Order: sequence, then structure tokens, then C-alpha cells
Amino acid sequence: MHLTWEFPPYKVGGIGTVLEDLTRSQLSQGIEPVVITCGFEGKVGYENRDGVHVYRFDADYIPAEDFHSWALQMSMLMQNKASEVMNEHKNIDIIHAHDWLVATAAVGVKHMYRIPLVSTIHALESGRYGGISGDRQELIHSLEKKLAYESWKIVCNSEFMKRSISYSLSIPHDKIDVIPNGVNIDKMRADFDHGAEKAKYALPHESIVFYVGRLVWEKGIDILVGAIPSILEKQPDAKFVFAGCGYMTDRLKKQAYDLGVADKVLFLGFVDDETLKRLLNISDVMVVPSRYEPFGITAVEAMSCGLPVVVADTGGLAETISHDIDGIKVWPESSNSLAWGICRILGDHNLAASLSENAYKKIEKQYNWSSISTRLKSVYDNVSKEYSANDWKPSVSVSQDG
Amino acid sequence: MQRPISYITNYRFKDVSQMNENEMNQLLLRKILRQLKIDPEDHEAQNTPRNILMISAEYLPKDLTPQSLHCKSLADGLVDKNMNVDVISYDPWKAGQTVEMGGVKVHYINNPIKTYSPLTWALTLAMEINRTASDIYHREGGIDLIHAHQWEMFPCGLSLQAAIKKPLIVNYYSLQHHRAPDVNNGYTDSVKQIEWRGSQKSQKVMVNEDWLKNEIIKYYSPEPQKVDVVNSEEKQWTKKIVRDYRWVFKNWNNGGYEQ
Repeated sequence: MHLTWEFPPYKVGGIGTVLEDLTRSQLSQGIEPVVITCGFEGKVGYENRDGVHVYRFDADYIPAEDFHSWALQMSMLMQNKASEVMNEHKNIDIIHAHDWLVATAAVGVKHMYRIPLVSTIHALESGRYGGISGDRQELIHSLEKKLAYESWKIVCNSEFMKRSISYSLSIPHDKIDVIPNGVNIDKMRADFDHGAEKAKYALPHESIVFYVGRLVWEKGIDILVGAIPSILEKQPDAKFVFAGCGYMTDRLKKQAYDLGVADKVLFLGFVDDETLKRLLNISDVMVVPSRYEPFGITAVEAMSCGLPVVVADTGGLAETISHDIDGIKVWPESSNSLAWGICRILGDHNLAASLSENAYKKIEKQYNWSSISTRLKSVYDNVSKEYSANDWKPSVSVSQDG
Repeated sequence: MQRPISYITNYRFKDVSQMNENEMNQLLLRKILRQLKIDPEDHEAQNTPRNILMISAEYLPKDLTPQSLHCKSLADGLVDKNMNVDVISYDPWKAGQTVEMGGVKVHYINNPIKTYSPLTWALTLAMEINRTASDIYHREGGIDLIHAHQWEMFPCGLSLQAAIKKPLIVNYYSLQHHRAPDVNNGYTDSVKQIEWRGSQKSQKVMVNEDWLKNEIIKYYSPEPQKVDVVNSEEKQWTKKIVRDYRWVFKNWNNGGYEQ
């Protein structure tokens, strides 16, 4: 049973997309995935989504002073929904929680039904803001710690995250398994008129430098904007297209205006899956300038479309990309280094072609969902085996009593 | 699961030497019930919840408040009526301990989460309440009825109710409308929604005075007959509560509530 606050069609970050692909691939592993998630705009109740059982509870009206207390109230409602579903599906073997937002629900259900809990920590609060300061961050940090403590096994998507979780949450290494996120290559293919699509964003002779992600500090988008003047000096036909939204949007627009490059930057805001797919197929280079990146799914998606990538040598990105083989790594927090990397790709078509070819092969081999869900299944199997040998069990089936 | 008392066969006139193990156990159980002054054929006894879980952030001797006094007197009164009472309460200094006080088992918990408001405190404390309630439920013979005191305990009471499918009684000592009159912000709206949900999803609402009953009905609109006034200064007030417990328990077992 997966507990997640976002699941398609409702998406905020990358968890929803990852879970949709993961649960679908779990079906072929003989696993019967059940998802408990928020329902918005009246879309509540049960949905059989391509074989995945999805239960949505009403999260439309939860009054709250801030996002944190909203999340805690949402989590209590999630726990009630999960209990209802547990009583209905009597064959749930593992509870799989995704991030701190569902921590209270996951811990509550784990104890009441005495079923092992596995957690995927997709990102850490200490990484999002470069440390823990202030009472809101303390709350999230201690919830992450509690979730990790209560979990039988923790799954994360990179060695970088494993080290961060171990250090930040004081969790032993052997409790953490690294399983990367995957990408559905077939889903990334698109058949459309490239010229007409490109015309929506740039002139025919322009090269598109693309960024997708939240416009927030940790993503380092300000570093990319800072690099634009240097890039334009060498590559005057570059056009910068940014997809995504976030609290830094206005600040970034002002930064571009102050640097005199506002006419070369296009802020698209949130884009749907189809538009994103097309953008990945028409762009010339994808940039991931993150300060903090647990994994970097956007780089993997770009690579699966044969798009050369320039990434900051940080976090999970540093593990995914092999420099000068399937992408270019640049110094984190450095606009100059970023400009150098982007110009290399825009100025050398042979290099760009070689990088994209190698990148595609790597994704096809290492980041396909089939192998990823097999690895996750082996985590589940090990946990179930240990659980069977353990005396921590329900005395009666909770749902049978009463 | 507790075995219904009506299943006990009458072996009163059978020779003990001819009894098998099962019959011996039945006889022993009958003797125990007699010592507890429970008539095995008594239908009222069958409809009386035996294992009560009370959850209250405040409890004597740590807190000296109307709520803690009420909870302590109630727990003691229920033990006098041969009920097994487990109380889960908050005390960082005694966290992890179970103290038996006059037959009442008090389980103390702490909140490991760093919170910044009573709301975030209450919602995160629920994890420890769940863990402790799970130990009581799975190890110590079950829970027949949950009694949650004041709004901080309502979310957890509701989640326990959803998991173990047992009736929930909620006790109000005050309302957010009076604690923060004329305040409209996200925080007070959250607390009001929790109070509203408690009044709607529980099987019985208890208050200590008529005025509060009327206020609850005015603000949260529960069915008026669902709200009972139980004043701990009245004589035989615990008897009234036990009567309410029986009524709720009987209706619950007979499918009288939406479960």
C-alpha cells in the first residue's frame, strides 16, 4: 500500500510521476499495488487506474495556517482512509510511505495493523534549504527522522541521498537501499511537427536551452539566468525556455530584465506532460543547475529523449552523468562554468550527438522501470522474510475484531 | 477477541472428574465471573464494554485542571465498576512508563516531534498514541470503547476508531469559539473543524454542563440526543457514564451506527 500526497492527475513535484510508473511496473511483478492519496476538486473515491487500485480522500477543504499544518491534517485523513482500505483489502503486506508529508499516517497504520513499513525518502528538508533553521523546518526534519526510525527499510534514489539520510537522520547505512528512479522511454517518444512546435518558443535559427523544474532556490535557476549574458556573447542565437513555477518566478524575471536578456528568456509556467515531452524533443540542450538534487529525474527524462544535458556536479546528478561521455558536468553554484558547458554543446554538434547517443543507451540499460521494480520487490521480499521471523505481529486481525 | 459470555455452557451439575479440558476451563471461567459479580446469563453484562481506552493529554497528578480531575475520577469510577481502564497521557518525564494507579493503567508518552503550535503538537502526538494503543490492543486483551478528551485527542480517537472499528466517545471541556472568540484564521478554523468532526463522527458527545451542550449543538449541529451532560460533581455520575457506554456499545454491536 503506497501512501503519497500526490498522484496523477494531481502532480506537484516528481513523486506523482515516479509512483505512477512504479506502480504500473509493479503489476508485472505480481504485486497488487494500492495507492492512498489526496483527492481534489471533488475527485474522491476509488479508481482502477490501469490495474492500480487508487483511493482518494477529500483533501479539498482543510483549513490551515500554513502548509505544514495542512500536511499534518491531510495525513490524519489519509490514515483514516488507509484504515478503511486495510479493512477492505485484507492482504496488504507492506506499507510504503513517500516523504514526510505522510509520516503520521504511515506510522499510525503500521502500528495499528502491525505491518512492516518501508519508506522512500525522495528529498531531505536539510537539503532543500541548505540546513535546518526555524520551527517549520525543525518540524519537517523531526518528522523525517521519526519516519526513518519507524521504517523497516528506507529506499532512496542515489548514493548521495544514502549518505545524506545516514548523516542527517542518524540512520545506519545497512538500513538504506539505493534504487534509482526510472523513466518510461516509450512514454517520452512523440510524433509531431518539430518545426511548428519550435515556432511556438523560438525563431527557426535559434537553439533552445531548456530548463524544467520548480523555480526555487535549491534548483539553482538563478545561476542559469546569471550565465545567460556570457552564453549569448558566444552563442547569440541561444533562446532560454523555462518550464515550471515557484516562489522565485518574479525574482528571476527581474534578474533577466536587469541583465538585459529578458527578450531571450521565456517563462512558460507549469506545462502539461504532452507539452513537456514535445519541448524535450525540440530543445538543443537541457540544463540542470541545481544546488541540491537528490536524483535529478528531469536530466534522466531529457537523456531518454536523446537531448544532451549540462548538469551541476552535485547530489544524485553527479552519479547519473559521466562527464564528457553522456553529459557535461559543471561546477555547482558557478554561472561561468555553466556557460562554458552550455556553449560547448551548442558550439560542437559532433559532441552533442555523441553525448545524446551514449545517454540514451545508458537510460535504456540502467533506468528502465522493469529492473527498478525488480530491485524494489527484492527489498519487499527481504522485509517480509524478516517480518515472518519476528514476533511483532497483530494478536488478532484488526479488521476481524469488531 | 473476547469470547461472548453467553457461549459459556452450564456445567454446574457435572462431575469434575469426568470433565475434559475445555469443560474445566469453562468452569474456571464461570468461577471468575462469579467472583467479579458478573452473571454469565446477564445480557446487560454482555452489552457492557469491559476494556476502556481513555486518551487525554492532561491527567493527574501531572496536571491539575478540570479535565485531569474529571479523567482521573472517571477512570477510578470505571475501575470500581469492574472495567479495565487504560489511560494514555502525555508526560515527557515519565514517557515509556506504565503506572498502575488504583487499578487504572496509565501509559505515559512523549512527542518526539519538534512542533510550533498546539495543533501541530496534537497531530504529531497521535503517532505515539497509536503505538501505545496498538500495544494495548494487540498485547493486553483488546479495546472495547475509546473515550477521547478534548479536541487535541479527537483526530487520534477517530483514527483509532477507523482502525479497530470500536465506538468512540468524545468529551468537550470548552470550544474554540470561546477560547478564541472573534478570531478567524487558519489555526482556529483547523481546530474548529477538528471539533466539528469529533461531534459528527463519534458515537456520543459528553460535556459537563447544559450550557456547553447547547453551544456544541449551536456551532457543530450534532444530533441533540447524541450529546449528554455528565457533571462529575453530581452523585453517581459514573453510573450515568457507564449507562451511556452500554448504550453506545450495544448499538455499535447491533450495527446501529454507520461503521
